[in-house]
Amino acid sequence: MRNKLKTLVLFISFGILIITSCKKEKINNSTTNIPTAGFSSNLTIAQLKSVYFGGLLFISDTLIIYNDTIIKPVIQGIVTANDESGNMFKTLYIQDNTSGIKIILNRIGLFNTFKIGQKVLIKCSDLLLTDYGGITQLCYYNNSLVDRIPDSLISSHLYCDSLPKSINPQTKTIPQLFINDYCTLVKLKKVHFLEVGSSYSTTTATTNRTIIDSAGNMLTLRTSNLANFANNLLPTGEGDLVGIFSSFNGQGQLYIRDLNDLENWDSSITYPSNIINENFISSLGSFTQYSVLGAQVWFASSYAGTTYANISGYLAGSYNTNEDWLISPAVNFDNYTMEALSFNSAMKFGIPGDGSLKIFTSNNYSGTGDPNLASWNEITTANLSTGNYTWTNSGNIDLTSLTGINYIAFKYVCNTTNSATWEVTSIKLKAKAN
Amino acid sequence: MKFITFFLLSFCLIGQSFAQTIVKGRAIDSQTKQPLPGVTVSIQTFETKTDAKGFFELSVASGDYTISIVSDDLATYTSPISVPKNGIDLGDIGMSAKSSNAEGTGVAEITLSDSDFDNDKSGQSVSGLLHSASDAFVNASSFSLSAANFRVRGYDGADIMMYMNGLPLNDPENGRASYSEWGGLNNVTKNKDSQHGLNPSSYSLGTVGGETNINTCAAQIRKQNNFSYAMANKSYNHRLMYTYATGMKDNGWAFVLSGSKRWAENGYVDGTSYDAYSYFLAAEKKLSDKQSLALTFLGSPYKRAMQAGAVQEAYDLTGSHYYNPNWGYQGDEIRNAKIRNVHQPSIMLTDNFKISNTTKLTTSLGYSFGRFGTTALNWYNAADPRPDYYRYLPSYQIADTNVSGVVPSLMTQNWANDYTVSQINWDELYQINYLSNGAGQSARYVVEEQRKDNKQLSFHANINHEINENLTINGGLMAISSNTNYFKVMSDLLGANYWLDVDQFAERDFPSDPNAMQNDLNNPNRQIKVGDKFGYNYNLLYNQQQLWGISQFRYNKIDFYVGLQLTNSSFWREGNMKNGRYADNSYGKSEKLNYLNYLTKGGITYKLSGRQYFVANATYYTKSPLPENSFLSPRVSNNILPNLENEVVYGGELSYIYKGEKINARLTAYETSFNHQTDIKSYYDDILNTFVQISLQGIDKIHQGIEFGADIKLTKEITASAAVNIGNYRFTNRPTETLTVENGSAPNQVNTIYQKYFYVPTGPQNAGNLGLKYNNSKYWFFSAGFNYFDKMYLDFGPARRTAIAMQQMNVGLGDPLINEATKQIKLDAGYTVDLSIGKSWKIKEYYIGINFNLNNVLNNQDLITGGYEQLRFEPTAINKFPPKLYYGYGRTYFLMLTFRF
Repeated sequence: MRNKLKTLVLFISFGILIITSCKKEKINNSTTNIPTAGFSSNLTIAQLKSVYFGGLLFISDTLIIYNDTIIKPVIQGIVTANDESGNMFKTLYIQDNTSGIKIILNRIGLFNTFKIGQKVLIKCSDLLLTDYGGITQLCYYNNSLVDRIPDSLISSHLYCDSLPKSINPQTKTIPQLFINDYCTLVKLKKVHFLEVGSSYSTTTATTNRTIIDSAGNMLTLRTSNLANFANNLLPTGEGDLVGIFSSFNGQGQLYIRDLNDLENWDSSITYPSNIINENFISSLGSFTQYSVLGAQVWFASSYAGTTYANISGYLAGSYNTNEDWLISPAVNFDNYTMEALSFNSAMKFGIPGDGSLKIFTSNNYSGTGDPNLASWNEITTANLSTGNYTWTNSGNIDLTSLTGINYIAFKYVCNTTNSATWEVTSIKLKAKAN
Repeated sequence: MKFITFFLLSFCLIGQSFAQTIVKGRAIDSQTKQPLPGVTVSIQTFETKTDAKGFFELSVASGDYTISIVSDDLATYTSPISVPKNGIDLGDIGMSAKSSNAEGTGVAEITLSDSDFDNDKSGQSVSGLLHSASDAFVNASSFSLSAANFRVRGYDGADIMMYMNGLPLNDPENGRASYSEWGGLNNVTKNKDSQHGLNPSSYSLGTVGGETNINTCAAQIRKQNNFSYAMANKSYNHRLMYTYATGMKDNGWAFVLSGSKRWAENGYVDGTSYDAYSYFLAAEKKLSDKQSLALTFLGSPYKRAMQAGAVQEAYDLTGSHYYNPNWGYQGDEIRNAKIRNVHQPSIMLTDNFKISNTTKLTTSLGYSFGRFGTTALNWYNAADPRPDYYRYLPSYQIADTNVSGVVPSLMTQNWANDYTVSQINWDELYQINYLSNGAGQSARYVVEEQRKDNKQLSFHANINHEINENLTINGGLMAISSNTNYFKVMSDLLGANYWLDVDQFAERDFPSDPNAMQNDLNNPNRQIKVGDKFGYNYNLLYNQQQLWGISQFRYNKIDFYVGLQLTNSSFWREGNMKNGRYADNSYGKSEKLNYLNYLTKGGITYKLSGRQYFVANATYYTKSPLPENSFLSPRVSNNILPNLENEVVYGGELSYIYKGEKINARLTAYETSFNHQTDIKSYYDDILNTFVQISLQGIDKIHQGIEFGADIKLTKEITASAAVNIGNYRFTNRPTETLTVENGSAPNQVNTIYQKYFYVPTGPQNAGNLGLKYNNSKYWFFSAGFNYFDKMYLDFGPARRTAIAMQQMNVGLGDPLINEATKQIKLDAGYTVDLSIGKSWKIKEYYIGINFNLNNVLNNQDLITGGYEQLRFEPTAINKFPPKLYYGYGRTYFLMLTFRF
């Protein structure tokens, strides 16, 4: 009995020990941290940019602006664009009421910390101002080289203040965009794309597309092939476009941040777009060739990054008689209005105006076989290259008079005494769908 | 030919007369005078266990012997005996408590769980036999040497068979038994029956690494009321343990109750909290003189924060060899990202039926179930949150010549001074999630739990029958049915609103295929909340039936046995999600894999005298591939590794054993060949941005060596011991590697791995222990031990040992870079010194014991006890991904108070 009692006492005290020694189970969530920089700015972005006149400008502890000496210069601004979609890489844009600036940093995933709408204060001492294609950017000075602000130094230069808030871009028209607007977020109302149906970017390199407003003003839309929307297609229709206005050597450019920057898009509105847009990348693409005479034929080629269709009757020291046709796919002109053709040509070893390259249209070609079985109307208004492989744009050739199914053809001829070399590319048939 | 002659000779010897006589006695605790059930009594090659009242009986031929009695928590009793023709009754044999360095003090328990790193493959497997024996080598390897991950003969946990009441404890999927399943139940898992090396036992034929059966039947557990408290600075700081056992009562019932708690806010390594419990309930009812029925219910739930290996640079930067990248501060609190949370209860019913004086049938039925989970950080479209990610280390910046010199020195400073840099920055992860919430986005960082929940039903009927005094047969029929569910579950959203169940890497790699990124096409684009399963979810089902038997022949001068085992196993995967990368081959059942395997074993003992004998054992067997190594990417598909084949193992051992009055020694030479092994490893490749799986097939290796152990009684009170293993464990061929990109974005690559004659990375191949023990009649104990470890090798990655790596490195014959890239890394040899002291008192009916152990007294913190080369290899900068290392603990203590009545 005594033993049983002892057992019981021991057992109970053991239980108490176990229970009292239990440690806290769950760690509570951290609370939202509302960041405060704890200091304020002492110059505007416009003031900072005003001291820069090219080259490398190292910002030390003091900055002299006209007659004022700013000690430990600090700017502040709101993040307007970051690297979230991949269209910008290791880059932030911030702006205040006066101007915007581009900051390049050596960190991926900036967007998780520097959300759009985040107020940021930047300690500029020990940073560097440089120029890239006419854009002033804030970066880091590393052994006389321009560098991104190193990852481990970001937290001692960029300070978040308060939580992100929504931001309103300034509405502008294309003609209103000037140097002052560089690196700021702008909204262009009622614009459309020229290259409807093409992807925002090719898969291999950053690509320029064209934004057109209702007055016909144009602006480059520049998109990185690494953007997560690069493979999406430029939509038909018209709407508002938000983006960072930038420039490269004076050529204005707009970078959108992601596809949410296409606002109020009405895809029922149609504008002329390229029904044919052939650049002969590695093949004749949508075009076909037909050789009437001679062994030489049209083939896809490239030089210095430009791809084109090439023909020449010259081979291994001798000229050969040729007649070769490069024929477009069929287009039903009844489905379109405002049809216009343009292309680029380059020529060598010919005489300007020798007729070795002629452009025709036909409404009774069968689509295959000998083109001489059909009737063709020559286009005589095209500007052609006059030699030395100088790329020459044909100008817009009005084809609105055509009806029904038509083909466009480039006819090349040469003989045993003279064989010109012709290259054509960027063949565009622009039209507005009915 | 020689073999045949040997056999003929042995049969001649059989003819000799074999007059058996009985040796009997009773084992008791010399201090408490309580009988000791379930302790092992052996005379020469004859062995038995004491019954519930501590009595034993052994039949031997008359002659001079040494008797030894072994218990897990008492000092081994050895004494010379002379057995007359008419038998002998030894009466009560008192056993006294022993000094520490034994499991009773928790040292081994702690040491074992310390190897529990988050390296899935090494896991928390049993590294040794973990028991006390009369064999000095076994004692040393179970306890002292385990500090440096010493493995007996270099064998993997899968070659060491563990049983409880005859039911297998080795995990069917990876082959290893996990100590943690019965951790903290030291007092009630002491009744062990262990065999070393190739020796078979009455409950199993074993393989090459020995076998242990833990008997938890209530009547076999010593009557006790035992309370203990221990304090330590190892993986846990405190341990409370209580055991109440009635012993077999007059009414035919025996009950046992045991429980423990082990805990630490912060273990030896930073950020490693420990919160473990255990419970044990057992009842046994004697149905008749011949039959008893025993029921056991046990479990050891625990939550442990894990340690991870780190590169040397991280240890140098933080100035500590116990740097642990798994934790960080959340506010003021330490939080570890890798928490292992396990609770796997078992229930077992055992029927002990003595059919006749010569026939015993033991039948057990068991069921275990529960959870095995490990948490980990996961992230989506955000920076790697792990502080030791290679790009966050100064060396990565130094390697980049474009980086300003200011940067690495600043980073070095931050690593030394700023916990938000050197550890996980939890508050920042929360903040980023909150900002994502504000932008209407999914979680960037979460803590997920990777689960492996097993249900297993097992059965074993084990018969022991003595045909005559010369022949005993043991045999059994065993069956296992196991079902393991592998899945991920959301553990903590870290303040975010939801997590999107897509594969971000597939999202990037297959931009034009919206299905590819789906983890479950049956539930696409699921928003995951806490408690939801996601990512992957599949079951691995495994069935096995085994039939085995041993015939043991016993004669005056010769004992021999032959054994045969047949195993039929089948397993398959069943996917519960339709993965977008493997839409046709992930949902539902995979092909069913069936294997029929056999194991043969034989051995012979030649008894030169009652105290000296020679033992030879040999085995040849085939083994089915482990389910763990049979599927190419089991998380996402039903694909089976091509050309799966059975492993073929053969080996033998030769021993000389001396059991003298003052000296007890064994010398063994062993060799085992493992052929056609398969091994699968996986890693995250941040260039390919996906998991890459490496399957090595056709691995051949050999483990050979010499074991020596001796106990020498210097005086009545002082015993010296020595244990040495000289090993040579080598790979003997060039296996084939298949490299598979889990999301299928790149084709499989097949390479030959140039690892012939590389050392098998399996703890120290050479190890030694010298010990001195003092035990006096006033119950003072003192012991000292010196341990030496050598020939330790880093686990190596296959990538750098391929022809393609040499091509990419652009090296020609004789280039010193070849050796630098491909040579195997040998770790420095090291030694440790252990001391312990103890005393026990008996006051009236109370028994009080105190034990104090100091391990690694010299505080050697520079002993690298393990590690692995990173599986990623950069041919243009061969040291870009340096190996991850683990250091053995410095000086640690363990103080235990025991109160018993």
